[in-house]
Amino acid sequence: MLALLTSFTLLTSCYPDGADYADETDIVYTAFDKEMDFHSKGTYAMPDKIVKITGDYPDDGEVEYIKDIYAGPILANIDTNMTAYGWTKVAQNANPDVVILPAAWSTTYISYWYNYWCWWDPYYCGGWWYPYPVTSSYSAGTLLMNMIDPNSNDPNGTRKGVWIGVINGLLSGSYSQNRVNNAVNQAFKQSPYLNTK
Amino acid sequence: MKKIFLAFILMTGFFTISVKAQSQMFSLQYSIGFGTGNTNEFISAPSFRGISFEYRKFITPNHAIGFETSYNFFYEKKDYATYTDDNQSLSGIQFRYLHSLPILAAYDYYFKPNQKYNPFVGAGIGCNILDQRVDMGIYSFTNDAVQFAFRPEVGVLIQANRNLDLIVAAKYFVSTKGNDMDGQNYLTINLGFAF
Repeated sequence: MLALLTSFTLLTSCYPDGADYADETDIVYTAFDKEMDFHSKGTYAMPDKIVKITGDYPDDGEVEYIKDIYAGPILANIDTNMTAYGWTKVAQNANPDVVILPAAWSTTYISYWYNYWCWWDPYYCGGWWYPYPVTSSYSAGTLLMNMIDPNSNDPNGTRKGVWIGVINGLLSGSYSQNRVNNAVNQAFKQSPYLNTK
Repeated sequence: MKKIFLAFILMTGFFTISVKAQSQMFSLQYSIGFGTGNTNEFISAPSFRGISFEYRKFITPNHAIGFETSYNFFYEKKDYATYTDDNQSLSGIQFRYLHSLPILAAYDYYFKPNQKYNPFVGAGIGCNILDQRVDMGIYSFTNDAVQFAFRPEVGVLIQANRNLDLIVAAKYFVSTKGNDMDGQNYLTINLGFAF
């Protein structure tokens, strides 16, 4: 019995406990609409801010944004990846083929709400739907890139989501631009169908 | 406290002497596991965390029946990888865990009873309680199952002294698909004491 107890103590004392570093918790999820022919598209529009989703949509529509010092490099990196795949950025009123709506949040269990983009263009207040499964809530640190087809219009007035890229990971004490960049790059890397070339 | 332990050990010692005389055998073994088939696909790294406890009642010097329970814990940290299913892809580091706890009725045949080296073959049948887990990012996916299990075994008992044998054995655990989990297979190499 003593040997048994000792063995169990030894066994449990060396139990591996998974991730040692915050960046080991980073995951990148992407999904796309199988009916979308990305190859025939070429232009996209994107806001110059990243909406910060706080959980309670403000009554006055005054949403919060990720600070430019953080959002700027992320948006620039999305642009770099889109350019590399042959896309051209245009203004939102220049009839883009797709629109990327980026959002981020750091708290737990928040649903992803469409009305956060009314500030940018009321056209996107209608919401959207996805031809692929999307978890309605993510926790910890999340950056979401939601690509929708502005020319799609279903009877409910919602636009169709054609691609989604979700970056999720535990937040560490200090912000790492490099960590976010790597994850954004990974989202595009694992979505080669976005390449229009 | 030390005295209590000492007394306990002494009592256990006397107990084992007496049980051996009654043609019973207890065995405690350290077990190293190597996944094969589905288990290897899930976790290819060997398990160095394993233990086995056995009891045998000798019907004749050659035949013994009894039961056993063992525990093997498999773990592997996978490299960063992308997993794609239809139009969805997920990238990250996966931490995979498999706990296996078979509880089996067992039968052994001993070729050379009361000799220095006593080889044996055995078979076990029962169930395997399994707990499979994948941690990815901040998410955890678990899958529990109880599956029908059996295992053949070969081994040898080596007489260390009048009351104690060393045991070296190889067992191949097979559990069949059930409870929404694929059947799990693994080989174990066991080293231990029999008294």
